[in-house]
Amino acid sequence: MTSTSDQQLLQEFRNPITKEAAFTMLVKKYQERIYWLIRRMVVSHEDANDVVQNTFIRVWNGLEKFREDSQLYTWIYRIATNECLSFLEQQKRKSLASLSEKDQERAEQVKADSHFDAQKLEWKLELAIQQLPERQRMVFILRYYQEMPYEQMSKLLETSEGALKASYHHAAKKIEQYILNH
Amino acid sequence: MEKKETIQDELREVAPSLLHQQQSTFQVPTGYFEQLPHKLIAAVNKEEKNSSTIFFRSPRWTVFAAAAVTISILFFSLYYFRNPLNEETGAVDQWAKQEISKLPEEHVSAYIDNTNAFLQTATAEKIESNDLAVLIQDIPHEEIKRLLNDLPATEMP
Repeated sequence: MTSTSDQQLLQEFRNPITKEAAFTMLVKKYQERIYWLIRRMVVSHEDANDVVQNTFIRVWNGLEKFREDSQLYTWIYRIATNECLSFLEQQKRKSLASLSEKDQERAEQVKADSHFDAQKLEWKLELAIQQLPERQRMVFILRYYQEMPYEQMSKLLETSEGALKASYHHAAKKIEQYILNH
Repeated sequence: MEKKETIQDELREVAPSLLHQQQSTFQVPTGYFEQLPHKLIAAVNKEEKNSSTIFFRSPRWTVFAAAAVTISILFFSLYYFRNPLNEETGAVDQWAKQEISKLPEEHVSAYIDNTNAFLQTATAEKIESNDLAVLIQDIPHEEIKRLLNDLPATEMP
């Protein structure tokens, strides 16, 4: 991912002739990272697909007015995280279940996966992640799976680097503890 | 992107058992990432097509329609109050006069006399039905005498 290529994509997107081709390239470039961030947050593929589609449709609608005072990469991630948190918020409002019950529901969804294996460490890790509060889960996924620098995460989540570092360390310790106890 | 070693070093310090566990667990339907860009292009094209055809349902159009209806109501109200109502009343008066002029004079006189007689009877009955003494009890005798003297002889009961 280089800023020059993002710059080229933006220029091509602003040209009506190359607009669709540029958008296709942009989706291909970011879709997997965005999908896996969202999938680990919402668990089900169907829900993740809905959130991913909403994210990229918002990107399409807003890209022409994108002011380039932030990186395209950060801007797309910000849309994705907002869409994801809004989706989880809507789910909470629709459901009569309490927060802990909702966490339990997501853990059950993980267990319902056809490839789930309770003995494997990576599955225990997925279950442990679902026990974290939403924003902490987001920080953990961005750092642990997506290897995002704190500086970038700070721009994305509008939180200080120190607070993000503390949140990530706390989450990692909680997950480790969960794995040791299960 | 931050160096992978830095992220791993941090993890080694904080939660060493989580090192090198970033394997993928969830599955994605076959061909999902190949199809997604085309699905998205189709979705945005459909959305743009819909947004151009639903012009007549757009909020801006509704505002214009509401404004047009309000202006029309105001215009017709003003016009109606200033002209047609008066003209219509005048036309009714004119028609009534024409119709009355067609009637024989004695019929019209008889109608007016009957109407007056009816009205006088109705008023007298109304007064008699009340206690006349109660009505005049606060009026001084001199005042009643003066009033009776002032009345013409024809109007005396």
